[in-house]
Amino acid sequence: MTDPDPQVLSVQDVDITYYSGKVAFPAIRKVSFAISAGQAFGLAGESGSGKSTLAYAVMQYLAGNGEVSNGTISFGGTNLMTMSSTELLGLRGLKISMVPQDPLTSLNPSHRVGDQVSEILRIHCSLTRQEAHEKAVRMLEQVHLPVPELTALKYPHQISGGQQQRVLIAMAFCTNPELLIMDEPTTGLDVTTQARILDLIGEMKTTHKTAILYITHDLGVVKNLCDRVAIIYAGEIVEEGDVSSIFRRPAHPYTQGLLNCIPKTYSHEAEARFDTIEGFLPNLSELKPACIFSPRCRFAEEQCRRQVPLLMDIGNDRRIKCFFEKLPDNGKKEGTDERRTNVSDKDILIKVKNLKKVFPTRKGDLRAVDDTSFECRKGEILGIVGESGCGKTTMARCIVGLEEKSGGSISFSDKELDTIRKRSKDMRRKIQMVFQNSEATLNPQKTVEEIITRPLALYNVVPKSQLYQRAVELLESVNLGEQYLTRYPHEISGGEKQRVGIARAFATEPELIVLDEPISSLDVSVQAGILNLLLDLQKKHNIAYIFIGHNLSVIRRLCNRVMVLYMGRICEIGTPGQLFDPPYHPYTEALLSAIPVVEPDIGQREVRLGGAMPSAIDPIPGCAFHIRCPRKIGDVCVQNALPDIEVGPGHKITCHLSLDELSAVSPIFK
Amino acid sequence: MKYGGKSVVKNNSAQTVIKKIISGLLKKNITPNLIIGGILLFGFVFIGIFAPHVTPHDADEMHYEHLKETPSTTFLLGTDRYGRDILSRVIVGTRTTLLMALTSTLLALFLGVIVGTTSSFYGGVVDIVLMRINDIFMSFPTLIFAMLVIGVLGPSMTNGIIAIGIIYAPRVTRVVRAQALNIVHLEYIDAAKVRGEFSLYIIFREMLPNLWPTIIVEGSIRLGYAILLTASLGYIGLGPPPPTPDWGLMAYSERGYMFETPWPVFAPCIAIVIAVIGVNLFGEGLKDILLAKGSRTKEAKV
Repeated sequence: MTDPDPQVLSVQDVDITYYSGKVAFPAIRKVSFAISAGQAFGLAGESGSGKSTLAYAVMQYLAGNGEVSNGTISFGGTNLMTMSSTELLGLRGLKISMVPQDPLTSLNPSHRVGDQVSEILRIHCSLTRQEAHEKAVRMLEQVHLPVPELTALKYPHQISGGQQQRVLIAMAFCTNPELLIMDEPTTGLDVTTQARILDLIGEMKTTHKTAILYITHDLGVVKNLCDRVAIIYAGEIVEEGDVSSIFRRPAHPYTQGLLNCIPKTYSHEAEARFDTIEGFLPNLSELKPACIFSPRCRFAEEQCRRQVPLLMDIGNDRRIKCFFEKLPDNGKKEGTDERRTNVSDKDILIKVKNLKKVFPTRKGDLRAVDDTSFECRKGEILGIVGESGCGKTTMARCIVGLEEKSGGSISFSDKELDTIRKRSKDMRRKIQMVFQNSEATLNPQKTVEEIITRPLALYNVVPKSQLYQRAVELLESVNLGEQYLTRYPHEISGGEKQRVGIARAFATEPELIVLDEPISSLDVSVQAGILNLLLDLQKKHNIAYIFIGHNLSVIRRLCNRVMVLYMGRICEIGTPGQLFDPPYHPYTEALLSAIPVVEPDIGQREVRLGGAMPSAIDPIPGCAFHIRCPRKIGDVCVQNALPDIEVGPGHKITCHLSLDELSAVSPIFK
Repeated sequence: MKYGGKSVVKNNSAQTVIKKIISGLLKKNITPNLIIGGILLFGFVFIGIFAPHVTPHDADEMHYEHLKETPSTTFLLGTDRYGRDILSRVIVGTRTTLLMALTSTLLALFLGVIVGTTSSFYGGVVDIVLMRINDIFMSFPTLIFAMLVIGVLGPSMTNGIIAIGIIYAPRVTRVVRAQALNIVHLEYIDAAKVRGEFSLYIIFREMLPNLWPTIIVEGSIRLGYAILLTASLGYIGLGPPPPTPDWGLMAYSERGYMFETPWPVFAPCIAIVIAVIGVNLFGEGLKDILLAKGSRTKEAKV
């Protein structure tokens, strides 16, 4: 580039406003940042912070009712906002590319992936059909797709989600753009796939010298990928600076809060509870002249509520939007690790033995849960982790009785469990479930009162005259007030819906609650509150949880025991402490290595898995993991039945490697 | 809300839909479709209800000195070959047509909702069997099927209603089932199952309230078709037997003189066209309120 300006993208004092009828929502206010060539700039914030709005504004592709009302966005020195739509058309895809969040809906299902890549080259680089195809295959090779010549001929549905995202990255890089915008490109992917995609993006960044605007809610990803980061809150950048220094010493109270909310992956800190940020995002249509974060800020003083702070330079090329350059150190909270209540070995609540669940398909039987045995004791929190498709949700649905098991037994207090219809009323009452999707967990046509009183009335938990009283008590136990009773689900936030869902599960006074990824659809600051609530309720009622999740950091803090599931089989089971240190099952090792860690001082040994999870239809006599296993021995893994290795009390690894071989690895975390 | 010791948990599904319609109207979410359709539809309903009182003449009275007359100030739409006032007969015919179309639509909705929700809720074999039966019913040409039913039951207004209801029920079933399939896998349905609710409770108290908007919109579309089919039945002589005034029958009995005086045939036909257009516009308007999937321009939700 001959342009003397090294900044590829410069955003200056931008305001973006959405209009709904006559009401104006200033979604972005006075945002400035710049990205230079070869730099990855992270834009991190929670949902509703306006990060995607900014990305679309840079693309000049805002929704019809939104406009950039102030400021300039310039690309390589030219103002994008004064460009005509034809000029923009030539720019988008050629010099500015975008990788969207959802790979499946972003690829056209009726065109071969190779053609979709070469189409861009034909349009923007005026290559011939033949040249474009050759270049497309080379691009697919660069993003490490297996057998690129063949993959180019496949349709999107024939390749996995991670591979689809690779195709999109190839499409974005194929014109060698100067700026690449990535809008949460790894959010829908499993951690192991995410780790590989992030490696790839990092690699492409260095080879192509592209400036990257990386939008995400996941600070761990930012730390691993980006050079600089801006933390955005309710449409304002509250802190901006170098990634390593921000993660080491966050200066703005919101950044501090956000980083504290994320459960530490490995640090040995005696934390009794998860940190939260109290309060909600402000309503942008009624802005007051005050610090936008002041209502939720622990350090807020009179000045914060009266005046809008300016972005202040605090040295080291860092800026914060706060009146205080140095905040009082809130100090680490004292407290012992109270999480692990003493669980007696004798009180086995639920015992699962050789559980099998098979879904018949046209190609053969899909074995979702394959000969799995474990038990959960009274008052225990048992975690189940694994990638999507590993059978964890199917297992949960078998336990609560939503699916009929195909073999094996599930016994609850020594009574055999069948599907819901065949269970006794008392048994139905004792096992409840909390669901994943906070948006669908409550019937939109029922008030919170109807939702909570229904199970009370159904099981005659309290006499009819006390229904209302009890509903209020339940709401208060999940930190919601009486005023919520008359509301409909669309009138409350996602976190509040999940709280109502938890209150509904507790209404029947159960002994076991199965939680199917209850926090994965929520923002980090909300997640922490829900986890605290679950811990408090568990301790108060001494009931057992089966907690399904994919976030190992959360599982480590929450659970007494964890089991790692791969293709319906247990790889490893033990306490979180046993799981996080060697010996590891090779799959656990890869999962741990893929966690985007936020702690600044923790190093991670790199273990990456090749390939994708194979189809669960073909029978596997040996180890289900052998196809992707980096430590595969040979034919033993494919042919022979797996031995269980007793590592320690309650710690079991299912692998052909001997205990000595398993122990002989260096720890993942340093 | 007051609780006199007892907690009253009402099923307010219908209320919610009405509330939604009213709030939609208040939010000025009114399209020209809804206004024009509403005026036409409720105009016809009004005329239908007060039919005998708003006719300029007695519908059955024969004016022998005014046979086959063209429109005049006395007879606004002229007279037929017996000297009966056409406008009066069209007005009284409104009542028959609307009554038949409305009741048969309600019957079709009732049957369709029950089969559609049951089929989607149980799934599997139940769904396959019910849907194939549904397909068989749908593969008959509507008029031939109506002739079959009325042929078996005999021509009368009630049997006409039953015939039209049975003909349109499978079509309602399909729409309701499709929408119910989107709901049946949602987590609040699972939650009800885990709670141990009876199937009937889940179908009618958890699923149905979320289907009301679809049902109402589908009903308004069906009503238009039911008006057409009612007229067709009348035209082939399977509607209510004479002398009950009926638009289809009127067009049929006067068709021989169409080239002499077109008024006796045109008047009921035009009434049918206006009624159907009114109903369809009204249905479109309701759809914009109830099943709005964002506005037509691409706008972000704020």
